[in-house]
Amino acid sequence: MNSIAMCLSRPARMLIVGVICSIAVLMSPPASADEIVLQDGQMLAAFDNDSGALVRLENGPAQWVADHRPDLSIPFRLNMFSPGQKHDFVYCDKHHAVEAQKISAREIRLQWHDLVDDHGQPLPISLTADVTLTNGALMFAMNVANSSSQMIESIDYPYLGGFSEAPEGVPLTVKHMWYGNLPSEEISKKPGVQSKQSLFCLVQSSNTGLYVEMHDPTQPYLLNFIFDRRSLTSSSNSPTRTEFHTSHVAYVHPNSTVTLAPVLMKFYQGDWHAGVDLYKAWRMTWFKQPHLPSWIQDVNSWQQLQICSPEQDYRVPYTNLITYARQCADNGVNAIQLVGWNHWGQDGGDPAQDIEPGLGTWQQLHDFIAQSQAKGVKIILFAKLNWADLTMPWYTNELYKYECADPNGKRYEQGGYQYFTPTQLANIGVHRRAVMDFCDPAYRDVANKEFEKILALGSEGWLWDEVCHHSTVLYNYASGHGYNPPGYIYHGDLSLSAQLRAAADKVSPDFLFSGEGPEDWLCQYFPCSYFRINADSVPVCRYIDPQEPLMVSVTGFDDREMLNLILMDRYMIEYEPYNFKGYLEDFPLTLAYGKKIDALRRKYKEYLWDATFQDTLGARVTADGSSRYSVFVTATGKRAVVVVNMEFSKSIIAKVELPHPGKLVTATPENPNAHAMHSPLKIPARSAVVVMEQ
Amino acid sequence: MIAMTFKRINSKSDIILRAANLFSTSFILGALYMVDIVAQPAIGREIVLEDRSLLIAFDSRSGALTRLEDKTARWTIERRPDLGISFRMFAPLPERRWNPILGQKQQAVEVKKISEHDIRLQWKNLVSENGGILPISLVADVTLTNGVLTFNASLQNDSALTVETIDYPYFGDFNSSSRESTNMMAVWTMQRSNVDHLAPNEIYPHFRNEKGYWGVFWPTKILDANLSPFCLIQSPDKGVYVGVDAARSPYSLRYTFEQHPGVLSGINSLVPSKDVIDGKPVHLEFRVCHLIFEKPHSTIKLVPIIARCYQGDEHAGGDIYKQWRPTLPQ
Repeated sequence: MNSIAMCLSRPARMLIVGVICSIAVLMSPPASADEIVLQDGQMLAAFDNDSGALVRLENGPAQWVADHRPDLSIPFRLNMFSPGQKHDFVYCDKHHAVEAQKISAREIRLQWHDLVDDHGQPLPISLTADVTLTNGALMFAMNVANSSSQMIESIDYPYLGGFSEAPEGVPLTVKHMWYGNLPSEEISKKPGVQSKQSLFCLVQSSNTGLYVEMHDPTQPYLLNFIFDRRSLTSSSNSPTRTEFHTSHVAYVHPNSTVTLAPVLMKFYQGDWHAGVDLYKAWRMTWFKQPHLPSWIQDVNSWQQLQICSPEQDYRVPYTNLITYARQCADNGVNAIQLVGWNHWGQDGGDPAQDIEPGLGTWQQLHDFIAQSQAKGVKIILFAKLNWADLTMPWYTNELYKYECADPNGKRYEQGGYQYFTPTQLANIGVHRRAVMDFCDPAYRDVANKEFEKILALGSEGWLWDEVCHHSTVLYNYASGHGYNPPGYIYHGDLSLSAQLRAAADKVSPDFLFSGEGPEDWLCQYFPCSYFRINADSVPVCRYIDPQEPLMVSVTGFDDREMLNLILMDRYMIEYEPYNFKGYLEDFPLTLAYGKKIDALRRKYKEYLWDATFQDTLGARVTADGSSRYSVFVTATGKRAVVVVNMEFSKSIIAKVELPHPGKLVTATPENPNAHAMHSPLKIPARSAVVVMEQ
Repeated sequence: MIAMTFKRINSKSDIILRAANLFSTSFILGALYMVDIVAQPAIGREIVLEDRSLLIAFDSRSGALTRLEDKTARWTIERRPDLGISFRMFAPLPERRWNPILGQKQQAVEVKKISEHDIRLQWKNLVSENGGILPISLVADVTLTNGVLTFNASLQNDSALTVETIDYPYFGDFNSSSRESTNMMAVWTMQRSNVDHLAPNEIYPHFRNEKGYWGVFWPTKILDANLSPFCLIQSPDKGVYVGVDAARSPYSLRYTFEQHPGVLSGINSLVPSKDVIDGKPVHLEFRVCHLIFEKPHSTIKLVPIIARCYQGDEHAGGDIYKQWRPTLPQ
């Protein structure tokens, strides 16, 4: 496999079936080529005035030259798509920009016309790029005019041909948002970062980074952030190097023009917080804060409860649910996320949102919801609208019309989930599902109709599980879905969400939309997000929005470790005894400690709930054992530090350093009354201490 | 046809079926799958097989495996009789897949020592959770010869249902040789079909769930016996070898481990170190699952399961397989 094929063998590869013509422009060393330079106090970007390629990218303050090999520079690359033909990767030797000029002090215009592919065939395609530098932020905009008879599948632009090592010499990592976390991987491992999960990525060294952003929050198409290790066997013609480019999988149809989503790059000093700060600033310009019911804004906790699966276990009839609600009410738990209430249980029968007759009647479920909510325990109905269960007649008779298909016309499938019986746990008889096309307005109407069944039951909200993905599907290549294919499925997420929200608003603006790890832009519609964390999870969502209702599962029978992290990162507690199949009081140790944590947060709400979360910024904590900490700043500027002893069996001595501290007091879940702080802090195993500035 | 036959069985067992249906629609159903709290037949006396190295005992009423001792190592592997289990089956109904047959709810018709080396166990007319009494018989022979246990069984399915799976033998309380947290216990299995390439999977003191949390009650690990004809449940200096003649098996087999009632924390996956947490017994279940899909009105002889203890590390366990392997047909 050649290197381009390897590059495309990452997630983009699944998109490519048929003939792909790749046009790349690899420049010879521009010994005498002049550069066109954009520069301010923070960044320098230089372009070759012949090819238009980006040949240098320098971070002034940190002396980091991100792109430093003019001889390896590439202005862009196109991948052509010709259905019905075999894979064919074709290179062109060279293209000259017909225009490469500085049109203002901070803007460069680049144009390429009448491209020629590697077979010498002319391609009447024009690319016009504008690069602007504003306060250290370099914005790459491009217009693509495709007058050819072929579809352009993707445009790789901007393209950094020789991505250098970090100034400190440490391995560069790339970080991106996903599922309430900020996963990180060394770029040498060619991580796949996609805009369907994160609108930005951070190329991070120890104390410097490059922020790269898809400057369009509407998910118009997939943007891949691609790091490609080239020429593992170095030679003078092809030295070992890392290329970095963003690949716009825009599918530009023949005889059409498309304006690509701009790509923004900016250097920053510091760790991931500084990079995410850039995202936060941009986010404020477009993120529409959703309405939230008052109860979810206060300290609150949930239980998740599954009552049925596709194996027809019918474990908890509707008429018995009230015993679970009573336990929640007795223990101050505010909501039940009710799972498997619908026909065929969890992961069966989707997307139908009818009741399960094996559990009782519609009226019984409706009445239970009303009774529970009268006790102060909200019912949040779990549902999925992404899939169509292939075993259901509804799929055979109708839903197949809305399924996503690959470029060969074959149905995409999601593999289904295994439940309880040895048969299913051996992956036999699992309900596989077709992947529904959210870009199809007809399917959105089907989904809306099912959603209205949820609304009719009278719950205070719903939770869309798996709202964050469409299995392996990116595009639907089938025709007849109300648009010119292929359609980017994630583009339909916002449209469907808006439609469902409008339907809910007719019932009540307070009807809560919650989801499983929704991507940040989806939080405009699904403001309550639940997910699972581990010991190393990075609270990036909390850092971005200090008050967003973020909820984390607690499953252990004495789960102090998870609860301490929940306190530290201001997450809501979701109790899940027996992997959310038991009673709340099945794990009294966990429940008791969780209640203490919520009581502490109510007592010091100003510090631990209403304050601004800063993660580790603003304080320094050192300890003689494994520890984690976070910093909160109240509206009046007072600070709190939550220090967690992550050791299982030993106390730690921790030193908390706050710049210019006022009088400091401490409290713990077990000893909530504040006492003057004695430094250093001794924290028992599996415990947390809150340090508060008076 | 299947539905009609089932109806006939139903009418014969009307009283019990009504009781079962009442049970299935009652509040208790919510905990049906929680075998930990399922009522068991009263514990009877012990029926014991014993030689110089091993002791195994069964309950005379339920037929549950209640005790297993490695006498050489002084390791009580199966310890608490009340956690003993005989077997488990699944026999889906035409209109409802969920129909387990729990050994804990069966009375053995025979638990008899038929020789110094051999115990016969027999269960008939099994009580299923949602299908009433089913004319299914399970006959098991357990032999102990020179420290080697062999679990033979045959299942006669005279019901109108397909018996999809049977878990047998079933260890309801598989103990580590020590509860010290430094005393790691792991399941070792063959990788890439190479007995010299064994890989561990820790089960104590950490037990990490490997199945989707949505579809299990307890942290669970399931290993494919067709990829490794034996597994070694290995403490630091001793272990239990469990072998199946998977190559000659007409069906698929799985080694299944479940940690009840769960772990201390989702962060560290530590198994509680005491016998009880929150009033619930802490115990590891281990069983061999036979995916037999046995049709109505048919009989099947299950693939024999071999178990024996050994001293040493996983290499000593692997050596047992090497000694046995030449007996396989070429």
